[in-house]
Amino acid sequence: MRPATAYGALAALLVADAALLHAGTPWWALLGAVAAAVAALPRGRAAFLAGSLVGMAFYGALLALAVPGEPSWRLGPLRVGADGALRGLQAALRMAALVGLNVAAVAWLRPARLLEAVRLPRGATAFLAAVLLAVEDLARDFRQLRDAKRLAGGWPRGRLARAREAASLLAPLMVLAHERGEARRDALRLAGLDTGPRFVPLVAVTALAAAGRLAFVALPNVALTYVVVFLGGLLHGPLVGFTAGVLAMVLTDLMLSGPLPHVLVNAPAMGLVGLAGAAFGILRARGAAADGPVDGPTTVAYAASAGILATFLFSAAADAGTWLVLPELRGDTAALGALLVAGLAFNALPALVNGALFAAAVGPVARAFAARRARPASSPSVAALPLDP
Amino acid sequence: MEDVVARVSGHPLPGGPTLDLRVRRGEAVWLRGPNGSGKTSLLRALAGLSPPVRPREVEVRGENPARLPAARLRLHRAHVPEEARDGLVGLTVEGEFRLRGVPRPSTWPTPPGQESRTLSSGEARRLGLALVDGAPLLLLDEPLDGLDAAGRTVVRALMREGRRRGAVVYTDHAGHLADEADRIIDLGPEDPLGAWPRRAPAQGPVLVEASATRVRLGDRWVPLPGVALPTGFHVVTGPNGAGKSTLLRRLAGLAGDGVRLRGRPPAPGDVRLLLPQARSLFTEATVAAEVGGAPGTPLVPRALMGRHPLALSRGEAQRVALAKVFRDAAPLVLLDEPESHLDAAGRALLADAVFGAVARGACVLAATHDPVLVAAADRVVALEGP
Repeated sequence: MRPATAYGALAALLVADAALLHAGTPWWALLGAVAAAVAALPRGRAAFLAGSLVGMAFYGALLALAVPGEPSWRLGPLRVGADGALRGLQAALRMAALVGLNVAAVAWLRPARLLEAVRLPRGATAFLAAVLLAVEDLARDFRQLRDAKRLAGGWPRGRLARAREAASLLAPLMVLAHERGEARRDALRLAGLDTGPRFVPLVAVTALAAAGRLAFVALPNVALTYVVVFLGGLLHGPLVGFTAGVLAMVLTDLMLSGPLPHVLVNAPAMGLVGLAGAAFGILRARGAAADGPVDGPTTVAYAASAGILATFLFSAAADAGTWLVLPELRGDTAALGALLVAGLAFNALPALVNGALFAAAVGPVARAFAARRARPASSPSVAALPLDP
Repeated sequence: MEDVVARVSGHPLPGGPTLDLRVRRGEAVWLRGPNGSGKTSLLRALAGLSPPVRPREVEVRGENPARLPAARLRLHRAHVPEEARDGLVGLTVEGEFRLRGVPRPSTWPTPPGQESRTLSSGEARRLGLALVDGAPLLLLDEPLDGLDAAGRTVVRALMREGRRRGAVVYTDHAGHLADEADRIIDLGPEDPLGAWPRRAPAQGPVLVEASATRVRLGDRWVPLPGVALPTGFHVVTGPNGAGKSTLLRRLAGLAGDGVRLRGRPPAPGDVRLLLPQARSLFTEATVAAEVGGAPGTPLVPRALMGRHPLALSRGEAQRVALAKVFRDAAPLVLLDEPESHLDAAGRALLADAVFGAVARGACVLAATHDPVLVAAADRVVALEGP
């Protein structure tokens, strides 16, 4: 792909996004954009259409109740309004058009080719490529582990059991992610590019967090990203935790849905999850949360609480982002309140799942890293050496 | 003109002794030794990827490679690592050449926009070889692994060019590049390579069968032939990118359906598959836990049992992966490049494991370019190029 093509496509996409977010864009144009996106999507049209219809029903019902407007009718203790329902439908249609257009564009443009075509500075391109290559490597590692279990008859059929089995692979995958980070560091050095001392953990945590989000993209608000970023902060400190959280969300948002404005909220929110992990690490180091083994009751309780809180805070941030972006909702505090309350109810189950994941993961991951650190190094870090006087 | 391109003084080897070595301009040095004898570690030290223990222990053109900035180090040495994919830095073939500032050969066989993740392991190695520029020290770690005949010719040409520009240091377990060596450095005692036994061709009834189909690999469709194989040792061959690994995945039931084992779909536990990059299948903290707590097997000696699986050399890791594959006496055993990284002793143990499984009535199918394995096969499934 030529740079001019890449920049032209990106500019056209941003202009289209801006037009779709403009309050004056008529509903028939939004409908046309949805239809165009459905036609252009290479696959998964049914899932996209079903998702859009569910979104429209949800927003229509929510705004009909929260900001009914006129005319309105009593429905037992509730008041339901046609004006609110229409606003909700239009907001959901706008969102569907925006997401659909970006998803279709990303599917055609291919993020890997786009990234190389925009010709960022060599170091930046190499770093982002290192993360994306590590994502691919880890996805392949996960598939190989899954295939090996499947051939041995150890891969369950039920979705819940399968998710539990996949989660049990988190500890070895975090260790493998570190190995992949070291391989990326060495490859860049061979290619003539040096890296900093935090390169390996940053690539490892970002890549696994991104791969974890892509793997669980079908489950709303349940993703390995939360726990990976939290553990990244815990194991490698605040800088790696925060930066990996931000980068993982930026990259996966771009890969999944193109340059949508939501990333401006999603990314820092996930960075905060990494900071929470780092804060826990500091507390443990100072003894405030240290209760002996890393899977002791205080640690597990803190990790579970962090998982539940992280889910709610992240979903609240995402809802606030949606409220800011959609002109049908923007500025209406009642609509914001409705979104946040609905988000709390909607995310209760994902929060519990994430909490359980945090609680289950923290011990095995810490033990796996301790075992890895105890082994003789096979590829010691050049960056860790003192320089010659 | 400086005669010594690289110098190694008192470099500690895993077995206890130390190594002194001077690599002179115009020579090709073959590092030979069993798995775990420190060949890859020495190449990594020469490449500036691992720090030496003592000052002046490793020098390339008079400088310590671990201390050099990467941009300057590139002018001193080129290194093609053991795992070809691990050496890539670009997301596409075009990006790979551009990031390194190396011109893409006009004869490069795959589309420049092809994404790196869709390259087969052999294609990734070909790409790694094409990226070698004119540095005076060329380091090649098992350069023939996964390469077809055309790729092997490229390696030989590259070694001749490397010798002309400076010097070449390489490893080659199978000894296929023995005639390229000006000097052999033995890092440990290694058994001579033996041929695999020739046996009477298998005649029994069909054990495993699958119909012809085609499978999508990245941007292209790969046709896969139908197979019907009896008990025995068989190989699948073909140029890089022909779909050998994909055929194994298909027979394992991981890419499409329609595979029958003894006339019915395979049940869990019927099939074992050895995948490339076996290290990524290790999930336990010790080798003993990986291989199921056995006190030791011919493939995995007792001395390795207490070690962390990710601390093993590639060859040792391959032995552990093979031990897991042959542990359960499955009727269908599929092996993707099983000889990769193995020393002579490991290859002999692999032959024992393969023919032991065949004697128990198993069908063993290996994807390989190795002429020794191909010569020992009962049947050869030949795939055409992409």
